[in-house]
Amino acid sequence: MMLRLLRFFLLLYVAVILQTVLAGRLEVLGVRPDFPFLLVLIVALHEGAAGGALCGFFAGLFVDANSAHAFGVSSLTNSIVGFLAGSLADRLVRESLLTRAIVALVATCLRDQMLVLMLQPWGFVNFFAMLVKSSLPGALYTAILSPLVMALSEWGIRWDKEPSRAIL
Amino acid sequence: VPVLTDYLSRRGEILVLVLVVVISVTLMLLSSNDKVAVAGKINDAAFTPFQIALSRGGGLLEAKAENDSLRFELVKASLHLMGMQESERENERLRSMLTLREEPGWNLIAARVVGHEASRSSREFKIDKGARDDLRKNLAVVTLEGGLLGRVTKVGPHSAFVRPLCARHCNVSVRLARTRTEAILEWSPELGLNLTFLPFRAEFSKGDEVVTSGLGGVFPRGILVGTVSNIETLPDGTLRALVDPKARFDAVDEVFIVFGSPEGEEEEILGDVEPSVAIPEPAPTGSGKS
Repeated sequence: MMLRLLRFFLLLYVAVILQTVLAGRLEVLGVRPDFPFLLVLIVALHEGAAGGALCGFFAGLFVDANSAHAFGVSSLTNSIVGFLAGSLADRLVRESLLTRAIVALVATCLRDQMLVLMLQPWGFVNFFAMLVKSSLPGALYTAILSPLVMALSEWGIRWDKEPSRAIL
Repeated sequence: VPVLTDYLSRRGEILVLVLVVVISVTLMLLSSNDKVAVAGKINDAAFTPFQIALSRGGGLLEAKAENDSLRFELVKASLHLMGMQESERENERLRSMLTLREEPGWNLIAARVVGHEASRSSREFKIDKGARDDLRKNLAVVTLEGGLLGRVTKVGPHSAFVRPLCARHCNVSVRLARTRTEAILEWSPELGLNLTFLPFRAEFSKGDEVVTSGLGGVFPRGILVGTVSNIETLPDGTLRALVDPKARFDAVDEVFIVFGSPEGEEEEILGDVEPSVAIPEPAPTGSGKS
């Protein structure tokens, strides 16, 4: 378990570095993918709600440390969405690429809209505008990359075929 | 027994969620200084060194240093030229007061872009110079070509974040170089960079250069921002002009921080009502090249 924990933190570190160095270069029409969040989702699918929440917290913490503002906000939103994704994991066909893409799409959208509401006290005013202009395109891009990134993450952490439900 | 196990497992999961939510909320409630300190420590200890190493790549350091030095001189010369052009225009207007102006000696420091902000919602990027290089908040940032790129928003010991013009809350006081008309440059998702607060009957045309006005703040005056790309009259009779930026926001590798001209001019950064947290921004559109 310790080894897997170590691999997880190493992967998270790589994901955050990729996000800061590479994601800008992968920008299409102003939209970037979200690598650390994809790692949160794959952990949530394998480890369940508690694993998703913990992974979301650490991913958010590292993302916040690499942001100019909003310390703690990503930790909170990622934890909650990680928890929700993990709670649903037992009811989903985790191995299906389509399932993973849909989970990535919905979860990224949900997380981004939570950010909108938390960061802007007046966020409800342009809630739908932000959904259409920013959250949905970003979530779509992240969802398209999700099968590849999640498969690489699985390979990196080396889960067993039967995923354990222990926390990480 | 399975029901009990399931119940305890569920309770454990909820306990974990409550724990991380409480810690996250506690982090959010920290004072701005504490947030910067905690984030800066994590950032500088874990990420900045690796980001800098990655951005610098391997080898050819000497050639790179020489190249950097030459580029530095090029930007200095470019800014000198802009300052001189600005002086010339002023002299033409004020013929009776024609005097020789001292060449402005721009005080610049070169920095390398080592990463973008990790949250997808913002367009700020990170440079490899920080408080130890005397950087401070609100300093102007220009590109290799000498075009205004944005300003410094947050400074850590070894790194800093730069907010480009193509982001919210980065309004700048500018003027049209040819006609001296003053305006405010702002960015919006729908229009890109555009000029607001233009006076009625302002006379200018497509292709006119837009430069910083130097009105009382940090930016030295005369830095080229871009050129007017489109002009339209709004239903209420006011004018709106779109600006094609000189700086390319999508391909920034190296930047220069401007510490101000020796004249001690200070420029005002208008509309700088900064929220305590970042606001997600939609993809830039309009006339900007970003």
